[in-house]
Amino acid sequence: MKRIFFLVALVMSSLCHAQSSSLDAVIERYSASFTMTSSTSGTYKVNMRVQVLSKEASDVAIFSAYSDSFRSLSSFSGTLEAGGKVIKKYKTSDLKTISLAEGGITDAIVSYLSPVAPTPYTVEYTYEVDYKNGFISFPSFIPLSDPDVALSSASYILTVPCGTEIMSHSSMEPSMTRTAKTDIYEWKVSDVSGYVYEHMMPSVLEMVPYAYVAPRSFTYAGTTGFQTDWKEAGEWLYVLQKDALTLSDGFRSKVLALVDGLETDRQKIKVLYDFLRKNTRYVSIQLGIGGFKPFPAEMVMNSGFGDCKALSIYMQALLDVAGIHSEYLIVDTRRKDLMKDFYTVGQMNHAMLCVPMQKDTLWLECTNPRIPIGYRHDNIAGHEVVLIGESGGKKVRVPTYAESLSSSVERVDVILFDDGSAHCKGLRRLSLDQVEPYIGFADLSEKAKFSAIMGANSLNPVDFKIESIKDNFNAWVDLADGEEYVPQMQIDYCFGAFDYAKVSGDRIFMDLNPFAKQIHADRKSRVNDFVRSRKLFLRDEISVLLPDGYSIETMPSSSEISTQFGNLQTDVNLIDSEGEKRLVVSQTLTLLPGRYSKDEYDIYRAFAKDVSKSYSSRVVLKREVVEP
Amino acid sequence: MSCPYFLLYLLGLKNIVAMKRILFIIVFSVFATMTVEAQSITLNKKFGKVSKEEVEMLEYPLDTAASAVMLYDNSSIMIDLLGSGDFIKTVDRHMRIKILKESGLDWGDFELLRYVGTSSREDITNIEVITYNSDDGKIVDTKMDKDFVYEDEYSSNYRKVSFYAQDVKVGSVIEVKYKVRSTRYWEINDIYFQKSIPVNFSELEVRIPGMFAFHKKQRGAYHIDYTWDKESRALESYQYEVGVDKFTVVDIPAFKYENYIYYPDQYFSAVSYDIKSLNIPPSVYMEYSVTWDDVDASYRDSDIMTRFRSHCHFKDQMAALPMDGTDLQKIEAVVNIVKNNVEWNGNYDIMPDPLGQVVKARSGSNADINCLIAGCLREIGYKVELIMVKLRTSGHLVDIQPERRPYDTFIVGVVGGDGTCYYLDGGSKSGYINVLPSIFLVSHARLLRNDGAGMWIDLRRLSRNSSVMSVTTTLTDDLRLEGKAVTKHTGNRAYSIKSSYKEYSDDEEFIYDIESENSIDIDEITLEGMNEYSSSATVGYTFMKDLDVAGEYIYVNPFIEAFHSKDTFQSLEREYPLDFPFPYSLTYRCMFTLPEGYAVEQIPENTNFKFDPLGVSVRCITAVQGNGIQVVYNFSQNETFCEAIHYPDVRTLWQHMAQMYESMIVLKKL
Repeated sequence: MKRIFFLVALVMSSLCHAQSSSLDAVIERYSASFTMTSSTSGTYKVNMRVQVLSKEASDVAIFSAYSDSFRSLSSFSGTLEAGGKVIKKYKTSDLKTISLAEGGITDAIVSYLSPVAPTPYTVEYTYEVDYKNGFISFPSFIPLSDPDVALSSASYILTVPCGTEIMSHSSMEPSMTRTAKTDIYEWKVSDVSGYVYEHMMPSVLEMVPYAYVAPRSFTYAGTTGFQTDWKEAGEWLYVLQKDALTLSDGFRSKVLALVDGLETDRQKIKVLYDFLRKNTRYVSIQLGIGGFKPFPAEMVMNSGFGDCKALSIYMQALLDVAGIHSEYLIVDTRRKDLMKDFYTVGQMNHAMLCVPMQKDTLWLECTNPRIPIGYRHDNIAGHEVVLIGESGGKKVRVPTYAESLSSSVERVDVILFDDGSAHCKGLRRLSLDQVEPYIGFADLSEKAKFSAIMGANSLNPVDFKIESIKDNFNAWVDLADGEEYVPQMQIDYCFGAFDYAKVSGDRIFMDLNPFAKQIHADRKSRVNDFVRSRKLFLRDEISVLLPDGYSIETMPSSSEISTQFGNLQTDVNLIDSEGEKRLVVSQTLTLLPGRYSKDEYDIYRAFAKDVSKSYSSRVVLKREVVEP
Repeated sequence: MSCPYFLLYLLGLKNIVAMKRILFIIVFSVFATMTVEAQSITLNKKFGKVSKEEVEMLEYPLDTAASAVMLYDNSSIMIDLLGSGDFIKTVDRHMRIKILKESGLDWGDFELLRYVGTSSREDITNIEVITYNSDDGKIVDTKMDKDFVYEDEYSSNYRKVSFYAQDVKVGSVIEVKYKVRSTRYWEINDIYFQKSIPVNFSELEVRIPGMFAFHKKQRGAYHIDYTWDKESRALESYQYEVGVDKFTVVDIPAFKYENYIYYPDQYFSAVSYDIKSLNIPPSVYMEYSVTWDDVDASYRDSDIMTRFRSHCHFKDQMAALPMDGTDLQKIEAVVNIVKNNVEWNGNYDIMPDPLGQVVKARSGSNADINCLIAGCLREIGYKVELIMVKLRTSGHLVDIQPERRPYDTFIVGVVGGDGTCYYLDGGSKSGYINVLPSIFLVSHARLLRNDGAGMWIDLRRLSRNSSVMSVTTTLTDDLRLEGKAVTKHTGNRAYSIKSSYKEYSDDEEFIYDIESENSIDIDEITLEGMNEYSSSATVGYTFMKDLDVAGEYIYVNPFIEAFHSKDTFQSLEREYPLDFPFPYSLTYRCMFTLPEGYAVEQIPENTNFKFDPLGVSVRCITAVQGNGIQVVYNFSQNETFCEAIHYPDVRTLWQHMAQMYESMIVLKKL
């Protein structure tokens, strides 16, 4: 599962480099070919030539190739040209290697070369990678992944033994030629203008050429399988893991003792999930077939660690002992939809469990059992997943939640003093996906808690204190079947701020909302459509007790900004009661999910500005004149 | 560590401020012998003797937020003489770790690197890991299976050995030991007593045969107990003595990372060993480095100096260079010739590559480029000096403590016609002559001479670093603030804005950030010198700003930009000194023309104060002049280093200044 991750990660990593709208590089040629010489071996050859026009695109000139127990870089040569002549030739000994193991175990290493020269310059690389030990998919073809890079021509020729059935998911149709012994597929693309990176842009795969190709039947690390549909792909994966559920008798007795006397399946699942949390930790292991095959439950039982597959299998074994049926599933946490008509498990990057209940289904995240049981976290809710069972794979979609369930509400009661300082008592209420950054909050150091709560506001607090942390993370177990569990959290805190407001002469100036939010909107003319993937609901409720002897000179009036992208509702009220003056402000920002045309971006930008302006409004207090 | 001020007197140093800084970082050779105070958690140090109390402990009393605690950490380092006449270094490590929270579970994962080069190698053996858990009041131990030890390639000269304790959970005590044997006996890596989790008790023993001499250095803010002893050894008939250094520390808090620290490592409690000599009478005597002259000589005799003194590689282009003009103009022209031919590869290096190869590849490190610049400058008659630098990101260099390999890189010193020395680094894309990246701004850079003693150079105040912002502004008919702002940055202020500008993909994003940080709309922007090799840069723009208008009042903030943010120092407290990049000054002038029909109701109070620990001086004066209001604000900071004791005041200072940038002029309709 790790393998395809790199390809997609490559595409995604390029997004981190914001680029100008001018062209930074041109891929003059990208010719790739893969020749399958047997069911377990093949040769991947690439010749690529890239002209780098701007140093911002120097990453495009980097050569990199992965080697592991399934493939190895067998030859490499390259040149660096500038001013019309070759100024440097590269050979294999010029390559550096690094391990891909970061906090985990893998046999994968990367060979790379990172040329630097004054622009413009051109690099050309020719290399071969030998495949051995089989393949579940052929090398992917993504000739262009960086923004502001054009592609002149690219081709990918796949040669397979005659009659080998393949499947592909690609942005262009291949041609096919049959010879006596081979079938030759060719994907060709030319004159691609590239894309411009922008925030909130649609998937890059809408804009770049790509081809993912895989055999419909395969040999991989000594196993064979079919993948003409998810059922077959699941059958292969099931065979890899079916013997992994065994636990020793002694341990089974221990598990049975844990659930002994518990009346409901919910109670048993909860106890076992807590057991998983208390007794295991995540360690990434990607060795050989380990990218797909889970380490057995017994290994986790003995070691107390495993990767997402091993921990899921272990949990499945625990549930099995307790007589609760569960299903192992694989999912791509980055994209909601699986590739259409492309049934290779290589596109997934994660494994977990689901437990069919009487009226609904429980989705269990075993890699991070801190996630409240019963909650479908943001990386899986709405995603297509493939359940792996004895009868093979089955594609289903994890249900989403009603958008209205997600919210973040900040309520702050402020006592303002006449020197501009204030005592503040805050309450942060979070619901659904908004709780995710706060899972484990109670364990954080005081400094980290302080940053998490106060980091985004414009105040400089002193005497910050968390007064209480409440959540309903264990509430699922007591819900009735069919009743939706929504994680919620509440953090009470208090702090002092000597700079809540600024005193100047007879006046006190203060922000209407020190917890103001900003919506980002580029100045540039929009090139791409823009996408908001989920609804955002942020509400601030601020109540300020004004100092004695001051009255409001200026305060914004209540208002509403409403567009197709969302709205900001601002309510401002002065309550004068029993000699106390209290300014009560509430601001509710709702941003709606959707895909919007680039032509609407000007309206979006104006909306963002109006929202920022409304948030940064100011209140002016003036000392009351005391009659002599 | 309570600062041993008596040492100031003993060492006879006059510069108390500078010495305070040094002593915070390092105490060398003068290790006090004191009784070790009892650690918070008493324990039996023997491997396997984990107590029930340790397993059942729920939190570490000195830091209840700690995710884990290093209950015991013991390192024993020994250099041994082998029968073959070679030496071997052995490191025995024993750690006992208590897991207290889920976020501490990673402390059950271990990764070690071992050197596998051709000339020497390291082996890691005898790995033993035991996890202790409490099961219904009984201690259950789980020994790690050897199957959970993995080794994989890390880089061309290193392999990574990983192993994972079994059965680790919140509450576990993990005990680990392993042995490293290395033929790289001359290298003893720094030993860190302090970690990112608290340390309850840590011991280090270093056994070094008497034929070796090492510089020993101890650093950090916490007390490290030290004793010395000697043992006798024999290899067949050869008898020799072994010196035994013993270090003990108790109750060291977790290291907390802070901003404004260039090299956090220097504040960790640690010891380091730097080889000085090997002496086996009568035949072997190897002197490594004893004095700065020796250190100078080792660099002077290396390829660094040879390549620095290499001939000019761009003779044709140099020949076309006009020979009139000032020294600055000529040096600038030379640097531009080299930079146009060779791109900086982003690395600060010490060893230049063969320059012919660099010119051919058209790219190189700052060391390569500096050598090329030196050759070109010499070609037109300049005296050029090699100046070695230990970057601020590698720690503070102490001139009374020679190190064998202290430097990270070097820069070029050029002696002008009038004897003035100019300093430059060819690798700094935003730098200029006498404008170096802030990591180069050290008090002790070493000028190496071919024909005499080296000398220390202070690089901290080479340029005048200032930003001067002038704003003219007025009200529009629809009661918005309209105006023009021009800021000229010089010296390292120019370096900063240029570097920051280069992080943006285009001008629009640069403008966007100015707009959003200051709640203004920018219409036109003019940028000068942002990509040039120059000592200044100018940012000018026209802007519009919404105002708070209510009834008969208009509120105008005369500060279009804020120069300090109170977010900079959010932490309530700090343990380590503040190290600012460079001294600088700011000047802000705003001329606001009053709209017709409005009178001034209120202007901001004038401000004038100083903050001595940072040499800060602040003055802000607002005055009504005819139909205008002028605001003049001056800020200067002359010191860059400040002890942590002043942190609360620094935080307050930043808050005060941030508030000042929110000052309001109140206008009232007539």
